[in-house]
Amino acid sequence: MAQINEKKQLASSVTGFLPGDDAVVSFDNVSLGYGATSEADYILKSLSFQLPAGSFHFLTGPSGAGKTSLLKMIYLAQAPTSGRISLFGETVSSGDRAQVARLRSKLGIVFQEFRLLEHLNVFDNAALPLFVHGQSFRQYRDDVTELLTWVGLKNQLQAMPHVLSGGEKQRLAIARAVVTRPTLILADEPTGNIDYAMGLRIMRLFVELNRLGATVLIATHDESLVRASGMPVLELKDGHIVRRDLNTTVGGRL
Amino acid sequence: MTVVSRLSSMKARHLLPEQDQREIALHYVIGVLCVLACLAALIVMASDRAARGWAREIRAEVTVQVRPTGLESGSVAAARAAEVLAGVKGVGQVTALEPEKAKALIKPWLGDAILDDLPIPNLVSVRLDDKAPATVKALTDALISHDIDASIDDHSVWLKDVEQSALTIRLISIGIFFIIFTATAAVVGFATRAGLTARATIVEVLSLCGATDLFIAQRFQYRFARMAFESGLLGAAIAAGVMAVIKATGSSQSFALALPFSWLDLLILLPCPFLVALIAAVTARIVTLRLLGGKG
Repeated sequence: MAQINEKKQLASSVTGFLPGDDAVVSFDNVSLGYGATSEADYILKSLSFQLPAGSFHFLTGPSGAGKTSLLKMIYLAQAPTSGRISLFGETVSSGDRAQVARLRSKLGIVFQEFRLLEHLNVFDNAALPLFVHGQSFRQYRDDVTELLTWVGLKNQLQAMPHVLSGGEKQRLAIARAVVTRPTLILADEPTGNIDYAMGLRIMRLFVELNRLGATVLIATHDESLVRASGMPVLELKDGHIVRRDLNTTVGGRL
Repeated sequence: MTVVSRLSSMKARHLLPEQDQREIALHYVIGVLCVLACLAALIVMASDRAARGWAREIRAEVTVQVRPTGLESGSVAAARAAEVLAGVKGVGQVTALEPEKAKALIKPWLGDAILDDLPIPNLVSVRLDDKAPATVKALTDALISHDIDASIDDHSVWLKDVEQSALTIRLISIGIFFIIFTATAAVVGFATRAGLTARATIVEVLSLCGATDLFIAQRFQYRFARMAFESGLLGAAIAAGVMAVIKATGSSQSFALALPFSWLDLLILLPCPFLVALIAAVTARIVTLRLLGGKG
């Protein structure tokens, strides 16, 4: 038992997280090359880390550091060149489309460019994941309305996305991402297209979702926002993780 | 009424936006293909009916060529043969063709000059009973028993030609059907690829929301099946209209003989919209699943 605790402490000192069954994301020696033949040219090089359940992290780094590529691998839009990725304790196997759909149903993903469906109104956009998973309108009507009220879009349920402001679109995208109450929320530059004040408001939403139990990983290059939040950071540079904060400041200053 | 109460249930077909210009063109192409397929079906029905009619006519008649023996003249021998054949069971009407009538038949081709020198055969036309026709053997035996030297032509050569022609028409029509429906599948396959490319964002969002490949494929499947059904319905209606116009206005003797349309033929058009919808659905499903699976 003492040996196991020793190992856990060692792992904690290396990765910043305690390894265990509650890891939502686990990267084991993962590299990504986008067709590059030499490992020196890889975008991401031999990454090993874990995100424990309920953690909150900013993924930072300069442009081209591989933040989006790392997120893509987590939401299974990009297969690694080498290494092993596990999500929710399940090792991801390349080419298993059914597994991709099953694992993605536990994810909530938010993009900088929102990726809303322009031909659906606000309510239908937010309800989309529930509809995809076979829930009926009667089942999801109240939940979706309540969620859109929470993100401040109650008066625009029937509005089309093109009439919304950037902040409203992002809040709608977040609503769509969390409507299924996902275990893991990934956000790629969610404040990139909105002003600072709205950015802070959006971040508070993510922190609130984290308090409710979701694991959150947000890629951003907005250092001022990261500093203001006081939340833990996972920093990428030249394909390596160069900074890992312990997840001890849940809630931060937000 | 509150905003919430005005919300309505999202329909699966709403996940893909309403049709764009490409889909209107696809509607048109499938419609044209269906018109051609339906016309081909109607023509094969009519030509098959014509071929069966001709074959029935040919089977119902035999021609006997009588060769006079001894001092008996050709006309007398033919008359005697006609009398004998009329008594055979399974024979309907018997007519000895008079030499003058035979000459009149070939006169348009040969003219007057050599007609008198030509040996005109003594022919007897025998119409057989429709229900229980006499066999060639029964006719031959009857003639032999009365010492009449004759040969019987049951028109089997012609019958073979007509049946061969009818089979050829059927095979050509099946070929046309195959070409048209494979063309429909190819067009739908192409449109599905274009549709997936044009709606890549929607497909990606659905996939990121946890939609299975099958769920996404079903959206394209229903979309193209519905479109093909509508086009098939329109194509079948146009083909039916064309047939109705031909039957109503083009009923000259020769045309009616070559393509004897029947109103019942229209029934063959009923499966057309369903068939083309099925082809479109299967094609769209296969293409979508293949393309999504290829993404890895």
